[in-house]
This record gives sequence, C-alpha cells and structure tokens, in this order.
Amino acid sequence: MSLFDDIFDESVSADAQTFGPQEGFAGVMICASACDGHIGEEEGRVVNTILGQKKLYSRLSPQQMSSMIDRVMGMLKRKGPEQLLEKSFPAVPPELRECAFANAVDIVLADGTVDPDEKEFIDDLQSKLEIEPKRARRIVQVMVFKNHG
Amino acid sequence: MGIFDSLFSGMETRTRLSPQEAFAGILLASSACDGHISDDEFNQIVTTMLRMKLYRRVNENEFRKTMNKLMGVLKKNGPEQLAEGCCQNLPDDLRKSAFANACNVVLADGIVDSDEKEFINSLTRLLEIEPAEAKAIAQVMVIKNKG
Repeated sequence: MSLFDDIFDESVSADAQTFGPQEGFAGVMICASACDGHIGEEEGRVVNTILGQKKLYSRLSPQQMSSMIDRVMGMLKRKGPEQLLEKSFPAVPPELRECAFANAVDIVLADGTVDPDEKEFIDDLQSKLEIEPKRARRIVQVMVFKNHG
Repeated sequence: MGIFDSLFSGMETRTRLSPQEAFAGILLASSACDGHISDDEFNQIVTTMLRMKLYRRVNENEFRKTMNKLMGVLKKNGPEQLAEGCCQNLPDDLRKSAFANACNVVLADGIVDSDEKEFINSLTRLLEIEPAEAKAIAQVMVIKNKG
C-alpha cells in the first residue's frame, strides 16, 4: 500500500489501459520473440523489420512508434509474455489475425530451431487467434520452408 | 565478334557461385525486379540472410564482397539473368526457402506489379517448384505481408 494509491488509481495505471490494434499486433510479435525466455538481438531486428513494413504503423512518427513499443515492452517486463499475450491478442483486428499468426511463426522459427516452449506458444496462439487448423498447418509449413537453411 | 575473342576465350566462362552467393543473388534479383532496390528492401534482404545458418560463417568483409559482386551482375545483366544464374547454382535443399523468401521480398511493400508477378512466375520455373506448392507458398506470403 502506497501513500499515493488513491491518486494513482486504476485509470492512470499502465496495466489497466487496453491495447489498440497497433499495440495488439506488436504485442503478439514481441511475445513470439520472447517465448523462449529472452529477446535476442536478431529477433529484435526481425520484429522491427516486420512492424516497419506494416501499413498499420505507417502514420506513426518514429517517436510515437518507439513509445508504443515501450508500452508493450514495459508490459512484457512487468507481467511476462503470457499476460502480455492475453492483453494483446484480443486487440488484433480480425482481418489481421492470420497475418499476425504467420509473422509470429516466422519469428519463432527464425533461429532455425523450435523448442517445446515455442511449440506450445504456436499451439496456443493458433487457438487464441481462432485460425482454422488446416490453414494454420499450411502457414506453419511454409514458414518452415522459409526459415530452412 | 571482337578481334580478341579468341584470346579471351575461357576467361569469361561463368564463375561458379557459392550457395551463399546464389541465395543472396535470388533475393537481390527479387527486390530489383520492379526496377529498383529501396533501402527498406535492402535491409530486409540483409535481415533475412543474417538469420540463416548458411551465412553464419561469412564475415562482414566477405558478405560485402558477395553483395558487390552480385550488384555488379545485377547492373550489367538485369534481375532476370542474375536470378537465372543463381538458380542454377543453388543447392536443391534451399530451393523452397529461396522461393518463399523471394515472395516475401516481392510482397513486402504490400503490392505486386506485373513485373513482379512475371518474376515470381519465372522463379517457379527456374527453381523447379511444383505449381501447386508455389501457389501455397505465395498465398501464405500474401497473408504474412497483409496489413
């Protein structure tokens, strides 16, 4: 209990604010890169490349972009990847769900290996984003091709 | 026919490309097939390659040399010929990976123009990828590059 609890009530607490589509999509990408325990330098670069290409973010200035990433990364540090994912996936717009899934799989497979945590993450994401199993399999298959070698 | 042709014979035979060069060349050609390579596209190619085991033992200097050599071929002969030469030298187990990554590069800006369509078509042929499989790969890359 802190002295200022009644002033810093729920409404200004960072964790209470809901994510918009931009944070939602970025949150899923960041979870994908963090699901093996840490975000490697290369993984960070891949996430940046992916987000940089999306029209979803094209109207953000570099400052807005980095403060958006900060919000998401802050949540990751405070609450861990599971809770970040819980908060992020509902904010992904329906038309971008498959896209988010494909990019998340791409990130997970980027280092050429898949550990049990990562497998579990992909399974979990498939059901959360409600991707039809057949399509999900095809997406994963192609991402395995892409990240081979 | 130049007068020195007989002297140069044998010197201009195509040098064999290493798997690293062949793979990089295909990506470079895919980003150049719409006429120019934007900074974004170039960065994307580099990001893609740095992730691969294939380039793990390539140091920065060699990497730069490879890119320079390929850029030279690209400027002289155009993306189609660069892709053709590279596809011939690409190890079989990297074909699908090269195709998937090439689609990814082409689709990165969210649009596909007719040059790019044609390029992907010819790449399917050059890499000997079955049409149904090529279609499935392209489809997933479209999904990936949406939004």
